[in-house]
Order: sequence, then C-alpha cells, then structure tokens
Amino acid sequence: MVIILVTLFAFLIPVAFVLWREWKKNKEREAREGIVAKKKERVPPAAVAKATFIIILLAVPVYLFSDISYSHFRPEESMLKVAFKHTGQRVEECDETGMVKTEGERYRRELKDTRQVKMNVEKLARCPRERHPVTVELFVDGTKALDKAYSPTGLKKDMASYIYDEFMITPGRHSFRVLLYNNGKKDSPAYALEQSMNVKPGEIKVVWFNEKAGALVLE
Amino acid sequence: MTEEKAREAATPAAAHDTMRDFTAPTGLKGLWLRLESLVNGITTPEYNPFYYLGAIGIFFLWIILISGIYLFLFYGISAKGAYLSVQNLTINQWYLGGVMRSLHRYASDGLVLVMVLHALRCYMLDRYGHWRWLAWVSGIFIAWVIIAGGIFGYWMVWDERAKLIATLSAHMLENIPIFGLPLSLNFARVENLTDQLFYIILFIHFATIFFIFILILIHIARVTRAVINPPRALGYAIMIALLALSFIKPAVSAPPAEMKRLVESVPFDWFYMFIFPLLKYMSAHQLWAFIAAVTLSLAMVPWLTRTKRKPAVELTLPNCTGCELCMEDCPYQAISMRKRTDGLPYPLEAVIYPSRCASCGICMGACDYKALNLPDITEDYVKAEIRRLSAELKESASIDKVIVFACAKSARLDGLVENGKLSGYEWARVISLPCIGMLQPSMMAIPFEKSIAVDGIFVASCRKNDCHYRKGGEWFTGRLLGFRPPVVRKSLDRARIKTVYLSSVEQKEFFKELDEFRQGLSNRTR
Repeated sequence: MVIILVTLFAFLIPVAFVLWREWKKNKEREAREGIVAKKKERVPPAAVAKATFIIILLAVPVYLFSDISYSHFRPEESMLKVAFKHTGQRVEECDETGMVKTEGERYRRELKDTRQVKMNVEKLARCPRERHPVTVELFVDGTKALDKAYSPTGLKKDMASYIYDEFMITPGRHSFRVLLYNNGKKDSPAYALEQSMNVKPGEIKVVWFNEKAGALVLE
Repeated sequence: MTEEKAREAATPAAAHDTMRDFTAPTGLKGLWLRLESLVNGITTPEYNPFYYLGAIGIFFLWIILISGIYLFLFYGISAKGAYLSVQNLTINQWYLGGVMRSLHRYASDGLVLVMVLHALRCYMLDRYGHWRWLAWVSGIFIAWVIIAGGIFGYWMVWDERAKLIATLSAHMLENIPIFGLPLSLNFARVENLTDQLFYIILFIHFATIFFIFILILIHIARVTRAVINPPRALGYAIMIALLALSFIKPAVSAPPAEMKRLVESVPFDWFYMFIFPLLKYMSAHQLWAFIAAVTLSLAMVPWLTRTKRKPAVELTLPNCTGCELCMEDCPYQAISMRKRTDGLPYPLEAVIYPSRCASCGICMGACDYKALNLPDITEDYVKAEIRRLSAELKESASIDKVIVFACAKSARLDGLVENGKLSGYEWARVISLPCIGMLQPSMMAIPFEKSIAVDGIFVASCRKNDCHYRKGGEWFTGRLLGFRPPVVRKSLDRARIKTVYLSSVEQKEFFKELDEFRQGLSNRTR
C-alpha cells in the first residue's frame, strides 16, 4: 500500500510545481505591491437556498440516470467460453540443457589452462526457442464453432498462447468436442475432449486446460 | 487633425466590424440564453450555476478525491475482499462510509453532467474556436479520461454490474493491437481472478484523478485568472444537493459477481456506461473506430466551423510605457512583458502573441497611451465616432441626450441601429464595441466635455460573470468604480453613468433600463 501511495503521489509533482510557482508569483506581487487584504465572501442564506433549488433541478437527471436497469444478455441465452493458456511445442527441437552442459564443461576445462576464458553466451542464444501456435477446434452438436490458431506470445514467440473465445449457446443438452493441436499440424490432436452436458439458461460453461491433469476440462 | 485621424474619419463605419460578426441568438442558442436569464431571475447572475460549470466540475473533482481517499482506507484490494469491504462500508458504516460512497458516486455523475453542459454551452455560445482551441481539445481528452476513470471505478466494487462492465471493457481493450493478452481470461473462471488485477485497477482509478488535474492545468493554460472555484453559496448548494441525494437514494452495490452465470439485469450508470450497449450492435473494433471518429470530429470542431479571424491587436512600441496593465487585463495571456528593446527609459515593453489574441480590445481599454490598437477598430476611430454622435445629439432638439456604449454580445439591437441612431430613440446614439472592456476611461470622458455636454452615458455590458471575452465586464466595472487602473476620472458624475449587464436575448430589458435611465436624468434636470 505504501508503494501505491508513493507512486500515486508522483503524479502530484507537476501539480505541486504549478502551485509553488503561483505561490512564488503571489509572494513577489505582495512584496512589490504590499499585502492586499482579501475580502471575506459573505454567503447570504437566501442565495444558498435559491442556488440549492436550481442545483436540485440539475440533479434530477443524476437521480434518474445513475442506475437504470440494463440487460446486456437475453434471459434465454447461455455462454460457452474457451479460456486457457497453453504452450505449443517448439518449432525446432533444441537441447538447450545439453548445450549449457557442454558449454559449462568447455568453460571449466579452458579455465584450468588459460584462466582468461569467457562463457560463449551467443552460442547458447542461438538455440531457437520459437513455439508453434496452439490451434483449437470446437464442435457444438457436431457443428464446427471454432477453428483458430492462437499465436505464441513473447518477442521471440517463445511463450504460451492465450486462448480466449466465447459463444452464445441456447440452453439445453449439447455435445461438445474440443480438439487441441500444439505442433503446428492438424493430423492428430495433442488433447481432445468430448462431453455432453446440460446447459441451463444464463449459465456460463468454460473449456479450460488443467495443467496438473494434462487434460482439457469442461465445467 | 492628424493624417491618421483624417484617414479614420474617411473610413466608412461598415469597415469597422465592431459587432465582430456575432449572430443574433436564435434556435437552441436563444433558448439556452433564455433559460439562463430565467435562472438569473432566481439566483442572480452571481450564483447562476450555468456561469460556473467548469468551476463546479473542479469542485466535484475535489469531492471525488476526498471521498475516494476515505473509501480507499477501507477498501479490500483483493478479489474476495473488494465486494465485502464495499458492502461493509455501505451497510455497517452507512452514516459516514455509505454517505462517502454516495457522494463519490453522485459527484462523479454530476461531473459528467456539468462537463457535457459546459461543452454544449461553449459550443452554442461560440466559445471554442481560434484562441480557445487548446481548451476545447484538452476538454475532450479530459472527458474521455473522466469516463475511463469512472468505468474502472465501477470495476472495483466487483458486483454483477462490475462483472458486466469488466468483461465488456476487457473485450474492448483486448481488441486494441497493443494488448497482446486477452484480458477476458481473467474473468473466465474464479480461479483466474487475481488480487494483482485489483491492485492494477486501483492504481489506474487513482491515477486518473491526478491525470485529470494535470489535463485541467493544460485546459486553463491560456486563460488568465481562470475561475476554478464556484462561489461559496454555490458550493454549499452543491453539497446540500449531493447529501440529499445520498440520503434519498444511497449508492448501493448489485449482487456479488457470480462467475458461472451471465449477468442478468443490473443497475447501470448511464453517465459512464453509455458506451457498452453499443457493443450489442457493433464489434469492438467498430466501436473503437466509432469512438475515434467521434473524438476526432469533436476535436476538429474549432477548425471545421472556423470563421475568418479578426486581426490581432497591434503594438505601437514607442507609446508603450511597460506599465503591465494590458498584460494583467488580457483574458487569454496574449500579452507578456519583456526587457525594453528600443532604448526608451522604461524597464519593460509589451509583446503580443497574435495566435492567442481574441481581438476583443480589452487591452486597448487598459492602455492610456495609445500603444495598443485593433487594426479594424482603432482608438482614434472610436473616439471620432463618440465625437461625431455626440455632436449629432447636441444639434438635435432632444432634451436629454444619452450616449450608449453597447457590447456586441449584450442585448441585440439588430435592425434598430443605423449609423449610430437608435430607431425610435432620437435622444440616444449607440456606439458598439466588440467588448465593453475596450471602453477606455478617456473615451468615457468625451461625452461629458463642456463643448459636447451629453447628459448621460448608458453602458450595456454582457451578463455579469458571463462576459464573452471572460473579463471585459468585470474590468470595466473595476475601472468605473475606481479600483482597477486605469480608473475612470472621479470628476465624472457617476449618477449620469449607468451600467446594465444583459445577455443578447434581453432586448426588452435593455429598452426598459434605457427609458428608466432617461427618466432619472430628466428628474435630475428638473
């Protein structure tokens, strides 16, 4: 919380600077022209009452429009979300651990002889890390609803793909089939899920990937 | 007569656009001004909220900031704690926490309302173009930042309404190319909802208000003595109204967010959430394009509706004494002072920034040394007109002779004035000025010169606190009452000078006041 407060107050610096400049200007003016006594503003109660009347009239729209009911979805609608994070396979296999081990051994060996040896980091970085996009196919009652490739994230496309899509479905019993491909080909899915389920009105069903179990889940 | 004066005298009056192409208030503009006149009848112009819409907006921001800090002290920054902490504050601490929450909500709604009225008013009263473009454009950005801040504020409650707007706004945000990750993933399952997200939202929400304050500094950067506080009476009135709303209809949460169900009907704050229903009819990309198009079109309004600009004021440096009065009086910071460059024995000299100049002539009114002149309405021209019309009056058979100085934005006298003659008022001659602040004390002395001996001067200014050029009426009054230099000579009989403050729709009031003034003069003569 302290960090939040300190960061937030950083925004006040320009405001404080302007206020300080104004204060300095006023001080200079006072020094030049002498201090001018400020007139105390009198507040006539009648004026407050009249102004309150007008402000209350202006507040009517606030009263009316601040919480009017709104329904974005129809009551007879339900939703299916496909939402998870998954890491595709590497485009090119590269034994990064083996390379590190070999390089470490070279380093140790040469260190003994020369005492002026450097780790060849460039050599390690040459190991390609790019991953395949993750492709997801979804069939609802046998009809294809989704067939999309999700690109891996990261500048070198070496991180997980984030999968998110949503579909409105009608309530009732549906069969769902989800296929996940992670090696860039669509010959055989890496993971598959086939499930039939009753969907109630207004319900949200989610297809996600359980990392621990290593399987697609519909719940 | 000097060569310059001779040239002035020879120039036809039509070439001097003292009316500044101001059009008569018709349609919505007329209705708006009539509404303001009606409110003036109740509150007096001193406390008319329409004249302080910007200042009221800033007042709302202070309420939002203070109530927001109080709410922050009790806010649970976590997925589970957010709803519970807000509910706890609303129910168990209704007398303070609940009121603070309501004040926060209604001040935020009020802020959007006054912001819209402020923009609408500036547009209708032609106060957005040329030298005002920075205020207009920055105002549009302020509006979007306020709306974005409000939307993130609603996320923080984490009720069903928050869930709906969170999912919809996440859907919108992830469609911006810079967002690589789908934000909606956070709302797919309860397990995905992290406390960090609430920290980020809190940070964004809190940061918005400071960002708004910085934008406001830009908004008023080219405005001298910007009115940033409403009169105290209005401040009290606003607090009373907000407290009344807070007790009559306290701000409450919707049911807690349920991730496994679609949001049913929720109370929607239309001041902030008006964008989301559009997602029913268009995709997020289309909505962004729509928002960008609306923003751009609004920002371009000063250029799209641009009229020909009047020439900026010109400085005659040898006449400038570096007295700083013009700089003090210029309402748009179009004049600054610098070290003398021409070797004359004054420490400073004025510098004009033509791009900021409104051609209002207020600086001419502040200059006693003929150092400043509008190329199309020079001091010599105005003075020559005063002399010409006063001489006409002198020759007329009228008993009471009145010179009227009329601000172009005061009561409209369309079709009633021809060559200075006011139709049906043989005893009066009218001199129009772009702004009454242009009226120099030395100009006011001319009609009372012994050789001319007009009976009275009638000054029609804009409505008090609503000068089209912000400060003209106020500075003129200060000069007349003797507390703002250059002051009107004490020897001028103030009983023979009358100032009225009228808006352009108040023609009837103008004639009523003029008749009363003449009556008063007649009584004095008798």
